[in-house]
Amino acid sequence: MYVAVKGGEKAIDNAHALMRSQRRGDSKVAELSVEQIRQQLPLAVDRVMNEGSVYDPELAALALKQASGDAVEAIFLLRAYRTTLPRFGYSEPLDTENMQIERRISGTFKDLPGGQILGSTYDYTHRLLDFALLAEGEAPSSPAEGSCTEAGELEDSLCELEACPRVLELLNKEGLIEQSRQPGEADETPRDLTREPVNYPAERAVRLQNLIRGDEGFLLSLSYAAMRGYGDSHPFAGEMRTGRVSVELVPEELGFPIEIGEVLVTESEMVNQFHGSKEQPPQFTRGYGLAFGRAERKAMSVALVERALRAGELGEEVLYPTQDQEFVLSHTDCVSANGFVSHLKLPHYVDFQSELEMIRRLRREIDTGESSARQANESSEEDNRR
Amino acid sequence: MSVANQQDPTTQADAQAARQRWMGILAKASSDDLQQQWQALQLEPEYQFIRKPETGLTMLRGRLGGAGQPFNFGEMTLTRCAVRLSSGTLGVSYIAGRDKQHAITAALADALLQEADTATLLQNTLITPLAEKQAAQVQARAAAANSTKVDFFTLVRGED
Amino acid sequence: MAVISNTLIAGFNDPVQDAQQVFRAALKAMSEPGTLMACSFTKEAPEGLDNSSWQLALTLFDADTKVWLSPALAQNDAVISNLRFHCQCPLIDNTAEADFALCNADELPFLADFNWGNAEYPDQSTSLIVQVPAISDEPFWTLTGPGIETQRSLRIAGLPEHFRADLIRSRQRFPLGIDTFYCCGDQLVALPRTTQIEEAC
Repeated sequence: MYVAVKGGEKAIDNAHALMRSQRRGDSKVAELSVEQIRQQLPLAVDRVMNEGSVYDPELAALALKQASGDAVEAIFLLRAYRTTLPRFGYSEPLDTENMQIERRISGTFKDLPGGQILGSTYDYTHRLLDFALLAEGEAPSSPAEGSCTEAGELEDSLCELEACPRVLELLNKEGLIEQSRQPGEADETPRDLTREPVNYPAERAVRLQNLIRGDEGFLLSLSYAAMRGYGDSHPFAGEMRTGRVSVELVPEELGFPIEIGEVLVTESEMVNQFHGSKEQPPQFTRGYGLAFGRAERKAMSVALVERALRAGELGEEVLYPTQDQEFVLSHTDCVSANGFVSHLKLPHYVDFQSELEMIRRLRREIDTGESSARQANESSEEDNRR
Repeated sequence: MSVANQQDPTTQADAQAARQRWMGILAKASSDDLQQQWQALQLEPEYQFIRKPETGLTMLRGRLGGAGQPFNFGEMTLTRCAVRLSSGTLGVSYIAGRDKQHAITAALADALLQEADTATLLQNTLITPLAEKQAAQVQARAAAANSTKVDFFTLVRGED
Repeated sequence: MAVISNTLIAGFNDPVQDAQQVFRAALKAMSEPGTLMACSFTKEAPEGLDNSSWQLALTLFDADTKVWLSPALAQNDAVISNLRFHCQCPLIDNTAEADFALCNADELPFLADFNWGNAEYPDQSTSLIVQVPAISDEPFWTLTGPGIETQRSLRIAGLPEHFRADLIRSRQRFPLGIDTFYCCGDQLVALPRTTQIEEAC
């Protein structure tokens, strides 16, 4: 419990002014524009969009600038802004199978229909600091306009990408993996945790929505724990793909779907063994992750934790925190977590004063208890001597 | 529905498909490209706002496992607008992002594309160039991705 | 039924500002029950709707609110098309599921047919918007309760007798109950479930 305090207006104004000037840094250095952040720190922008749960790169870049680069603060800003906007309905489910792919890899099959496409990646880099960037050298050109053209490969690469069916469908043909839906199953309207509070046990759609807006670090650590022995998880990266997906919605006045734009998303499908149960033969099960932007670590972590949380419904024993819905889902949100930890900075003067009083009283009681015991002892010794 | 109800079903379906196409192209065009092409047309249609441009959110949905039941993915900013020409034709736009001018221009273009005397002009001088530009971007992105296509070789681990 | 485009009329001139002003008026009407408010942020309303009920709809209805319309309104193309176009609200047939009900006074169903909320969430009840032929502060009803310093008088014309009787009796089930708005032209008045009503004559 904290109490209201008054005063300090001037000091707070000054503290904010100081924060603004610290954010600006040395005025001899050119100011960073929102567009520069959007263009040149896109992975930071993607994280803010994911946990802010709003796809708008410009707003996420603005939030990052305003928050001096603090992701959690930026996410808070975006969440707050989100509440000021009306909601104009729901999109049609994204068709990620028909994504315009810029990266696609599989850890389970070497040869895939459509091939493996590395896209832009930090994998295979040597993780050595690149001092050319410090020297503000020329930006390297992309392969499409650079080296490939020179090597005369442009003609080859100009051909449209081949169709890229889902990797896990290869296993589906053999019936070795669970179906993502039964044939002829009708769509159900998913519940929205921003409109209705989560009740436990939560259904899969709500769990996934929660994880996607969850803190990346928390999910990454949970999935690490699940693989290290606190979750009985032995996953394979079935497929990961990044690319553009068209967004469609059906306006009431038209009654047919129209495209309103595109979103860049990363999708991860994890494969896990499943030993089978009385009803089901041994087969592979899936964990699914989806994230805004180029966010592989996030998408994979979501997929791993998503699978761990399915333990109960797959008839596996729920032994670890990573498999416990209430533990995981109620602690994913960085805005809630940050709020709760930060609130300790608020005045708790009265609370603390009462605890202080109590400790003093207890100490007094102990002291007086001890001294009276000592007195009693001494007097009894005296008695003995007599 | 704004398309005349007397038309036979196939023409109506064609008209709908055509409208879906141009609305998608108008939405996906960059605001700068759209305004440039639009201003070059020097059209000044009379219109009334039925819905002033307003920005809000749409909840994007995905499917569990990519193809299963729908789930709520996260929201996206969206700006929409509706105009009515003096002829009574209604033009509508729904555009990802927060650009109100983009939404107004797209709604006006949607209305004029439904009008017999402006449809061809707009199709040729607005939609076609924007579509070509978008197709080129898709090509360029595909080319960049294709240049990173990889064949992994499995090395046989020696037993002896 | 699809939206019929030639029945569509313009919504708010300035959607954000105007909706906030109307929301403020609705809030004042609810927090000071029986106070007559005027809302004139739209020039016209769809044929069949009062200007004030149309503005309430533009302000309060959206894709997440289920709306029930009384029979004459539910058959009115202009009303349906404009609500669906401007508000995207799902229109439903079952009064018990309604978040909002928009009714003509002479078509009011029994109050018991609406959702009264439940003990955990009394706020989930149906909010009722009734279009009436006249509203005035003539002495007919005497109102007391939160938001009224001593008492206030109100006369709402055209309400069926069963509805008036049920509304007065419904106070016994507090905190369950139905909050009500009454609209006539630009005028707006509200009677939340906390207001005690006595028939003066």
